[in-house]
Amino acid sequence: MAKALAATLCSGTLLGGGDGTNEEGFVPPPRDPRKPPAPPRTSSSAETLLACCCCPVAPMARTEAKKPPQPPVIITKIKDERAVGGKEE
Amino acid sequence: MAGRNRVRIGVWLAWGVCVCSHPVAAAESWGDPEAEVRFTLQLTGRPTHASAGYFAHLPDGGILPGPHPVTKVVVRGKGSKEIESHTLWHSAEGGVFMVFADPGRGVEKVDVYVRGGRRARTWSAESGLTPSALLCVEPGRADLAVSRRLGRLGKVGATVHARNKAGVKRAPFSIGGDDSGRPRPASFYLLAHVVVSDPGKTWIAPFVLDGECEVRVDGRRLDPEKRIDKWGGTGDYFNLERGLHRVEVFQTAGGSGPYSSHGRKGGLMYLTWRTPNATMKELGGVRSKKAPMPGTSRMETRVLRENEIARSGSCRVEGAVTRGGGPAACVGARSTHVFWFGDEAPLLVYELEALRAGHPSGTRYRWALPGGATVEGSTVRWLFPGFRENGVKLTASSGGRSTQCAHRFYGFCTARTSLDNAAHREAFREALTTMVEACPVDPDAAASWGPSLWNNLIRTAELGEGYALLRNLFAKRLDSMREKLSPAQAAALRDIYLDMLERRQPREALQMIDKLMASFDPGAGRDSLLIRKAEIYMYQLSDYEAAGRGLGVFSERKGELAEWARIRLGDLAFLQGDLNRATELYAEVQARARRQRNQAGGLIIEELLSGGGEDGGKAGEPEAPEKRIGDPRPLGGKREKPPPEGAPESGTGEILPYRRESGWRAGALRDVSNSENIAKLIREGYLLEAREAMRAWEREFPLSKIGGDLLLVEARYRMKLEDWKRARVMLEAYCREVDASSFLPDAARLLIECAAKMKSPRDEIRAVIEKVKKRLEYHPVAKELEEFLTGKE
Repeated sequence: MAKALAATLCSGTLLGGGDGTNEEGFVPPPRDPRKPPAPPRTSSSAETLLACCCCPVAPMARTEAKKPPQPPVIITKIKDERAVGGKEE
Repeated sequence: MAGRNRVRIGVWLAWGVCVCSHPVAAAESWGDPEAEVRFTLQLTGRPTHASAGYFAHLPDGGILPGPHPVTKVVVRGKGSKEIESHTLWHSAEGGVFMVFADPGRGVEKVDVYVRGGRRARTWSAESGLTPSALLCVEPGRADLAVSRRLGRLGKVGATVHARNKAGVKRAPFSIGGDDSGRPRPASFYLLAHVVVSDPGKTWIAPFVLDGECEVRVDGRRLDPEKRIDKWGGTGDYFNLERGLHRVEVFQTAGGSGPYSSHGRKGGLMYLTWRTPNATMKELGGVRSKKAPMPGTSRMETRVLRENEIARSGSCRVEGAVTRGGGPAACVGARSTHVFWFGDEAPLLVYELEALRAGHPSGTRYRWALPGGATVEGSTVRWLFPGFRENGVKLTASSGGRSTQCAHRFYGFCTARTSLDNAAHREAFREALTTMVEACPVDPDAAASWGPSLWNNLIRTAELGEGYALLRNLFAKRLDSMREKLSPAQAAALRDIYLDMLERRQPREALQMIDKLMASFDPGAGRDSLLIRKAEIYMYQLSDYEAAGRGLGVFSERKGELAEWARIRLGDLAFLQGDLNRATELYAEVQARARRQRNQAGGLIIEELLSGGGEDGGKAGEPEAPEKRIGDPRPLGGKREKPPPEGAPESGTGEILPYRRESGWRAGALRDVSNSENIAKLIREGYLLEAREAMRAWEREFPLSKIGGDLLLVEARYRMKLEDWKRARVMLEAYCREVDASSFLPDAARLLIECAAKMKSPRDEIRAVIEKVKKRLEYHPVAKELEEFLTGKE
């Protein structure tokens, strides 16, 4: 028994024993229990309500770096006319 | 008759000049015999209430009489009738902050006379004026005692400043921080008047977000108490009658560093109230049954509205004169641009202006600026460090009389600046040009300039711009430049400078190259200047013999520079009409480049340019990696993150590997893509990048000068730089030597354009154009060429 208890503590289940799921009258626990509905949004303590904000002073912004040039996109197809066997023309 | 009239007009004019310029006449029109200085103020914004008057800031810096300046405001053109005026705060450094009564509608200007008094005539609530909403700040200490001292008005510290600002849009009555940009800590005093249109018992609730705060209404202190558990439930009742009521806020901001720029968390305090007959809608609606205190208002108070705060009018100082008509020195300082990257110290461009209204003609203005610099003129652009106290001195002189004022300001700028904007880059260069021309050379003031200034010089450098700046640096401050700049940075500036100098003064450019070569160690850097020298002989001075001699040095050498010398020898042969020799030289270089490319399975052009190709380069000083102008990292710096292997870099002329079997096809493709890429770079103003891409193209496919449009692309690039002479030489040779090409019509058009820009006589290119016309007889361009040949000069 002591060995079985030790094994249970270590492995989290009783080795060789049934977990009762096969027994008659077993009711499985709900796999994904539904959470109770959230309470309606009310101002329970209005002191926390931020109805206004006090905009601070305008900060000094950093300089924007110059954008690199965008090269034009040229689409072309180069056909490799080499023979399949690797011979060049 | 007409002559007699002219004499009469002349006499009247002479009389007018005598009367107006005579000191006695000026003294007669002086509105206050005891006043030393008179300011002219332009009224720019009306007050919301007549009693709110106008808020004005008169600069001092030494021009105002002491110990307490006393003001007398007079409306122009209405005799010397005085308008009530009072001092709010004054310091010799910060000037006088004052308020004066509304002179009425239709008045645009007033004169403010200032005399010295033993006691300041400060504003008080009994004066009848209701200045609002004036925020006075003393940076450096966060203490309510300091705020209260500001509330007592009169003499204040040197850094105290005030402005007409009640708050911001979402919080019309609030204190957000110090708008001058100075960091924490600070003490604030807000003097405002609020409009009560719903008289009676009013609940006032200030919200304090940071620091300590004390509010007084009509002089009575607001003792906040929590009356109800709602937003705005902590405050105090006041019985307010209809009309204006004084609200003063004493506020501190402790800690250090900048004020928060967070939209919702920033700010120090804001004021809310509940007027006696406030509606539910104003207070946020009715609370539902599920909330505490159902059926009552959602909030207890609301923020004050814009129209519930009185505003004093605004005005601007146009100028000041002394008694007797002499000019009084007054400074207007405005920050226009900020150059701030990474960990570097920010640099701000300031426009300093001497306020000149009323000054005698011929008044001279002399600025004493940091670094021992002096500048003459009424306006100056200068660079000042950000987040620091700065100071300048201005002396205004006329007719033997002069006044001087010292102006202090904190370096701060909220304007947005972008290196993409050519005007912003030019603003930096212009300010720096003034600095290099004004600062002493011995000892060189530039030696003490920080890395931020030098790095921004590199960032704003562009081809064809900043000639005066670079001329000064290279002629007078070369040692400082060498000490402060990396070799790559110095080389970039040198290229830009020589490019401009050789067009303006080619002989001087040759001397400059000799001077630079003398200071170089023998090596690749020095030898590259020899090729540059040959180019000047070839294109600017048409001295082909000297160019050939210069390039002949490389005839026995191998390596990258030798290849460039061969390309230039090909150019020389092309200009001299020896197309076969040019083709031979170009073909040699191109063949070797192709072999290198094929052996390596692809060639990166940077390897070639840095001498890392097959032949190896001459031992020279190590070159720092090239930098694109769009990169805020200064030239010569290390790349923070290397690009992924094989990733193409736009505009750098990098050549991607391609298969050996498809070599000629890929080469043709490269030719086309180079042409398109460079044309786009030129169109969009990326001239440095265009030059680098063009060099890469030229190095790999020099034969494209004859068979392709490389020469035309380069001509367009030169024309963009307004180097008409070099473009014309190249185009003339092309039109003369190339018999048939699809680019010939364009070449002829560009040649005509160059000649027109140079205002050259048509006969100079007539023979060439006639030759092209014969070859393109049935081409549409023939008509244009005919028009050119038969048209008038």
